[in-house]
Amino acid sequence: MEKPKIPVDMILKHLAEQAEVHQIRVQKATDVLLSDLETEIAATPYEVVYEEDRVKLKHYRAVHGAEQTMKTPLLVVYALINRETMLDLQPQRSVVKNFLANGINLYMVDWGYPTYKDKFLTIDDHVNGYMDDMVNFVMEREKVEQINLMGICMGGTFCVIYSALHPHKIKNLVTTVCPTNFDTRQGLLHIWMKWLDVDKMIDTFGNMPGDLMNFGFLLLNPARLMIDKYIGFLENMDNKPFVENFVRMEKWIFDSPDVPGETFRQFIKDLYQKNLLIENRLVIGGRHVDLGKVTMPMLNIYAQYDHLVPPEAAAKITDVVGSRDTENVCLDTGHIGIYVSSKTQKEFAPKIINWLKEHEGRYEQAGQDHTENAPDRVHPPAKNISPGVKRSEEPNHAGKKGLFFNDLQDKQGIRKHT
Amino acid sequence: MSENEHAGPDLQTMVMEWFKTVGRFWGETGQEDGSPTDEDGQPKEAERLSIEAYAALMKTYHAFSSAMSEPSAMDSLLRTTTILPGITTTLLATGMKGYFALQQQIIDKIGKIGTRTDSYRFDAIDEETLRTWSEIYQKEIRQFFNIPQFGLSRFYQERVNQALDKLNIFSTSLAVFLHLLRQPFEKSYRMMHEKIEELTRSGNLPEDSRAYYQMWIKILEGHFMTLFQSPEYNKTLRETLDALEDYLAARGRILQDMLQSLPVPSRKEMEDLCKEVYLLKKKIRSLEKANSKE
Repeated sequence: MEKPKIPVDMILKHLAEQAEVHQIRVQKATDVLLSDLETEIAATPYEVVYEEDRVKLKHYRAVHGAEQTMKTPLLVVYALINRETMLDLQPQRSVVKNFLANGINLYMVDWGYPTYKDKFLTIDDHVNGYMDDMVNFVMEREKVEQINLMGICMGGTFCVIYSALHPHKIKNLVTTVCPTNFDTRQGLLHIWMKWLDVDKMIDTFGNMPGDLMNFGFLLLNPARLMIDKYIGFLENMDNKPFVENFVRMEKWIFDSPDVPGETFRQFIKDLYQKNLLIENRLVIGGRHVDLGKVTMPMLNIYAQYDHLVPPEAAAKITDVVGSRDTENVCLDTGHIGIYVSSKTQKEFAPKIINWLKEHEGRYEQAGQDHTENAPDRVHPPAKNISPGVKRSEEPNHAGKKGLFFNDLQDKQGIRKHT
Repeated sequence: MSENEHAGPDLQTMVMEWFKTVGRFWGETGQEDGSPTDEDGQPKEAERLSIEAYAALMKTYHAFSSAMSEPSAMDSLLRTTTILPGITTTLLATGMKGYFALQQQIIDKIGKIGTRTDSYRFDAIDEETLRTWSEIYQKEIRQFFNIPQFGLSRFYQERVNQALDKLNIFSTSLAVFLHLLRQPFEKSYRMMHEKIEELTRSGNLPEDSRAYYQMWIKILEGHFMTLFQSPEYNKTLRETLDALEDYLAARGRILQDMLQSLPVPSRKEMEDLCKEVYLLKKKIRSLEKANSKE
């Protein structure tokens, strides 16, 4: 057998060149790391307009020179996992700034840091308690009868539940990377949560520790999240803007409040393990969460490469809600990238802004009845109504990640099917 | 049996004789009178007291030796000496059994060196040594932590034993879990080696070191993804989490005991208080809402 030839001379030459490059990089990196770094997150000014227990409601001030403010305010509800500061991570890639510059009157929920005393709080307390109180407050403050509601991840699930229980208060519903269908084998989280003994866990810990959850998230892809990410940092540590953004992201990602025990228990048992929401069998605070009552226009955005809320977990909701004005948008990114990547900055926030503007005031003319006595299905004006088509066009993308989506996405990487 | 019966009286006679001799010696020693005296021929007070104490001690030894040489006491003593080696042997046997089983595993493992394990497969992972240790612990050692405790401190001792037991189980589960997490690395190194061999043969060896890293991280990621979806990993993760929770609960019970002796509320008391506050707030909120509707 012929002995393989290894080009040792070339490899050694390359290594010598690399060593020089690394030496220069380390020298520059030292200067960068010792300089004043701008790593502040959530820098956009706001005022806290409402407080209840640990929960705060932020109102962002309108930006000077922004477009005329929309009449209907937008309330953003973040998840109980990690913090809402992710929407305002860095000045150039801030969803908050984008919204303000385009005339959105923005309110945002800050769930705070639950302590041991919060362990008894249930989903009912969050949705029908804190969220409802804040919605009432905003309506009263802004002198409007309805608001726009936007939910992020677990906050999106809360928003769907809220919209089903209080449909008359919500004008338009936006859900982003929002888990609603838990009967899927896509994504390790869904597999692991199926067998998790959540009772034992909560009885032991009280609240679900944020650090333990973070460790679990890191274990979803240790090669990328625990090795490759830091190798990337070492390769770019002479680049000041890169280092600043890296530190900002680290600040956010490891800022993990605990999740109130009873809420976590209910979320895992009723949603991850029994999948009650999408099956229209969920009961919150003694009331049936009837998805047929989600009759307001709904925009549902999710990410193609989301390892926490895969497309199959997010896309199905528009099929089962009562509204006939729904739109699914799949972006070519991951769970966090949807909010912070430079590419999706041009797609994500503009899509929501345009959709809200399109729907602002649309139904007043059509005379829609938004009261709780309204019929289950409201028929909005002609545009975007195609109930029969809506279901048949919904793709079955189980296990075909990266193949099916490439065919469906339009040139901007956005998929629409209403 | 007959051997024991035969050996018993001989030993008994010997020990009885020894105790009698000891008894006589201490008796005589106690009776010796070499007491120092002062000028008047009276013993010095301090010395007299120490001599008296010495004599009393000798008398006690004498009494003890005499009592021990009684046939009934001798019987009890001999019984104890027969039982003690039994306990020692049981303990030793348990330890040795575990030790030999573990050694057997190591020998087996050494024998397996050089045997291939397939890439992207995690159903035949060689973590048998750890599993064996876990089994030895569960079957042989664990029982000692469950020996019933007695007396006033019984409950505290039991809780300490339980915590130690749970800590041991958690440590073992964690070792198995970490061993599993190490597998993708081992497999990726071997695969990289094969890939480099292949590239060398085909003359496509990359010059850029980053290309090797990218190749490796992709292989590693693939191995992790395969591992995470394997039933073996899910079972181990579940067992580790269970063991951690059991240990934390057992540790919590000890802390609870300690807190009871300090002027601070225990977790249970705080939990009751928090629940009361929670329910009260809920009640007030619903009353407020009902009131505002009216």
